[in-house]
Amino acid sequence: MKDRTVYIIQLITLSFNWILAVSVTWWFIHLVTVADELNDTQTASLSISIVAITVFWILAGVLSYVFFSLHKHDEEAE
Amino acid sequence: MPKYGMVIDLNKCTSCQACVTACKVENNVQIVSEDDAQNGRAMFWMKMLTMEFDGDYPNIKPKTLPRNCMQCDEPSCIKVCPVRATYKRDDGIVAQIYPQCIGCRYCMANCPYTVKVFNWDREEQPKEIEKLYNPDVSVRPKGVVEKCTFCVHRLQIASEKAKAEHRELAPGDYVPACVEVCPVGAISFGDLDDRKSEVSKASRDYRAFGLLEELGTVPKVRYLNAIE
Amino acid sequence: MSYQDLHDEDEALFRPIYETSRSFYVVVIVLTAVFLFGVGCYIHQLFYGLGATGMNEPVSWAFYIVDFVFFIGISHAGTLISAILRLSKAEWRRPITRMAEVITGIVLAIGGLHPVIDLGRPDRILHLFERGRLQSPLLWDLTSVTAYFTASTIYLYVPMIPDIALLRDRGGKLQNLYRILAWGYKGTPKQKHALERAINILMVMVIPIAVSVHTIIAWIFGMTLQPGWHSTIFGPYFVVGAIYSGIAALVIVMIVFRKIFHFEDYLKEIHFKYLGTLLLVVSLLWTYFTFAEYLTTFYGHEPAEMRVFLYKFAGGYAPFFWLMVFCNFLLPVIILSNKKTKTIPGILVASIGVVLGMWLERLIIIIPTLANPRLPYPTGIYIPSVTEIGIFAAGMSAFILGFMGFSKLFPLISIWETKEGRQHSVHEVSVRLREYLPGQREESGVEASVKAEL
Ligand code: SF4
Ligand code: SF4
Repeated sequence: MKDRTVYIIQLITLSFNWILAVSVTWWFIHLVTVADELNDTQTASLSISIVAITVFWILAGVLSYVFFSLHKHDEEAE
Repeated sequence: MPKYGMVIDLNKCTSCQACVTACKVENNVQIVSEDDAQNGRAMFWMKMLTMEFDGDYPNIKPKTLPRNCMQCDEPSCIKVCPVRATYKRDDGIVAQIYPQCIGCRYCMANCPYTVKVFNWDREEQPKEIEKLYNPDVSVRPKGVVEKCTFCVHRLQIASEKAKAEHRELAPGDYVPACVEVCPVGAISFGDLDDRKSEVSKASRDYRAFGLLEELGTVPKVRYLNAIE
Repeated sequence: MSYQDLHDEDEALFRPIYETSRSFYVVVIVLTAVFLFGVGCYIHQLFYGLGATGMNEPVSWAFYIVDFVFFIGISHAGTLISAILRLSKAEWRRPITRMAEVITGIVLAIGGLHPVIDLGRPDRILHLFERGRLQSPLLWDLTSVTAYFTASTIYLYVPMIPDIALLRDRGGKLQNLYRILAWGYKGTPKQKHALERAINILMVMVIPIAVSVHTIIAWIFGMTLQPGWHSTIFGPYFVVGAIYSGIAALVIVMIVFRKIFHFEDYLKEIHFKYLGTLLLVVSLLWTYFTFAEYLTTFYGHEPAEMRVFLYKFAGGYAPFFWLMVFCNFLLPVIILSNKKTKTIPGILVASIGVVLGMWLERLIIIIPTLANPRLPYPTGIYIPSVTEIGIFAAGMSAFILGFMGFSKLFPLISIWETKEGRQHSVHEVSVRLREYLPGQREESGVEASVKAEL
C-alpha cells in the first residue's frame, strides 16, 4: 500500500470520531428541543447535554491531537 | 379543562368482579393461555385486590378492593418513560401511546401500584372473543405496555357527539365501562374540579382515602372506607 | 527480514500473535457454537416476543437487566483501575493495564447490548433517537455508556500505538493493518511526548466517566419509588460493587492468560499479591456499604421495605443472599487476609467467588424488590428460561472470544511500557524516592546524586 492511501484511510477512521461527536451534539440539540416541546424538566436535559457534548468533543480533540502531532514529528525526523 | 377522577365506595362494593370482566371486554385486553396465567402473565386493567383477611379460618372475611390505574396527578410512570409513550393529558388522564412504546418496562417497574401490564406475547384469541372485539379500541401488539385509560375512547365519542349536537359535554355523558356496569353503583365518576359533582363531593367525604397517598403520587382514584 | 530473525528480549509477548496452538482452535469452535446457540435464542425471542423469557408480573425485569448491570460492572475493571494505577504512578501496573483496558472494551460492548435485548419492541429502538426524553434515566444511561465506550476504546488504543508500531516494524502478517493503525509512530522524542500528554489527559477524563456510568445505572433503580431501590447510597454502592467485580474479573483473566501464553515472567506473584490486597480492601468497603444499606432499612422498619428485606434475609431469596455474603465477604476476606492462602490459586478462588457473588448481588438487588410490590399482590416468582440462560452464555463466550481474538492481533501486555519500565523506571523511581526523603531540597541535586551512584 502506498503511503498516501494509508494516510487517507487513517484520516477516514479519525473522521468517524468527529462524525460521532457532531452527531451526538446534533442529537442532543434535537432532544433539548423535544424536551421543550413536551414540557419536560429542562435543567436535567440541559446539564446532561452540556456535559456529554463536551466529553465527546474533548475525546475527538485528543485523538486528533495525537494523530496530527505523530504525523508532524514523523516528518521532522526524516 | 375538567379533571377526571373516580371514587369507589367500599361500603357498597360486593366484590362481584363485574367491573373486572366489563373492563376486559371493553378494552380488548388479551386473554392469555392457562400456562401463562399460572406464571403470572394474566392481563387485567381492573383487578380485585385482597387487601387483608379478617377473622380465622373457616370464618374468613376478606377485605377486597377493585384496583385500576390510579391516574395519578403526579404519575411516577411517565417521568421515566424514555420515549413519551405514556403521558398525562390536559384532562388529567394518564394515557398510553402503543405505537410509540419500545417495551422497556421502566414504567412498570416504577408504578408503585404495579398497575401496568405487558404483552409478553400475542396469542391466538378464541373465535368468539374476536367477534366481540370493541372496534373503538386498538388491539395491542406484542411487546408493549398497557393499562387502564379511564376508557378514554368513550370520552372521544362522547365529546364528538356533544359537538355534533352543539352543546357542552354533560356530566353523565362520559363514564368508563366499570362505572356503567357496577350493579350496586359503587363507583362514581366525573370531574373532580367541579365541586358540585357527585364524585367531587364523595372525594371530600370523611371516609375518603387514596391508596399509598403518602408517596405523593396524588391518585385521582379514591376510595370510601368500608364502615360496619 | 522476517520476524524470526528479530530477537527481542520481550519475545514472549510477541509469541501469542504469531503462534497459535491446536487447542486454541478447539476452544474457538466450542465458544462459537455456544455463541450461535445464544443468537438462535435471541432470534426465537424476536419472533415469539418476551414471552420466551421467564419474566412475568410483577417481576418485569430480570436476567437481562441483571446481566446488564453485572457486565457493565465488570467493565470497570479496566479503564478505571488502569487509570488509577497510572495516575498514582504505581510501577507494577505496567503488565496489567492493557488487559484491564481490553476487558472494558469488550465487556462494555456486550453489556451495552443487554438493554436492547430486553426491549419488547427492539424494532422501535429509533424512537429513542427521534423522540427520546432526556429526563428519563434510561437516556442518561445511553449517553454515559456511549461516552464510556468511546473514551475507553480511545484509552485502549492510544497507549497501544507504540506496540502497533513495533509489530509493523517486525514485518510478518497483516502489515497493512498495522501500518494504518500505527499512525506513523517512529518513537521520536516529540512523538513520545505527544503520546504521553494525550494519555495523561485521557486518564484524568476516564475516571469521572467511569464513575458516572455506574452511578447512573444505580440511579435507574434509585430514581424509582420502589422499596429496596429508592436509596441514596445506591450510586456509590454500585460503583464500589463494580470496581470489586472488575478487579476480580481482571485477576481471573490475568491468571488464565498467564498460564496459556506463559507470561509467568511478566505477571509475577507480586502483581497478584498487590491486586489481592486491593481486592481485600474493596471487599471490606463493599461489606461496609451493604451493611449500611441493610441496617438503615431494618432500623427504619417501614413495612414495604421490610417485606423486601425479609424476602432477602429469610424468604425465597435467602439462599442466594447468604451465598452472596459468603462469596463476597467471608471467602475473600478469609483467603486474602491469610498469608498462607494468599497465593495465586488462592487469589483465583477468591476472585471466582467474588465474580459469582457480585452477579448474585445484582440479582438480589433487582428481583426481590419487583417480586414484593407495595400493594398486597401475591409474591412474584421468577425462574429464568432457556432463552435467557442461552443469551447469558452467549454473552460470556463472546467475551472470551473477543479476548482471544484480541490476543491474536495485539500484544496482551504492553511491550513498550515494559521496556520503558526496564530502561527508565529504576532511575525515575529512585529520584522520586529521594524526593520524599527528608534532607533533600533541590530536584536537580537529587538527580545528580542518583546519576553519580548509578
Ligand atoms: S397508578 Fe401507576 S400507571 Fe397509573 S398513573 Fe399512577 S404511576 Fe402511572
Ligand atoms: S414500556 Fe413503553 S410506556 Fe413504559 S416506559 Fe418503556 S417505552 Fe414508556
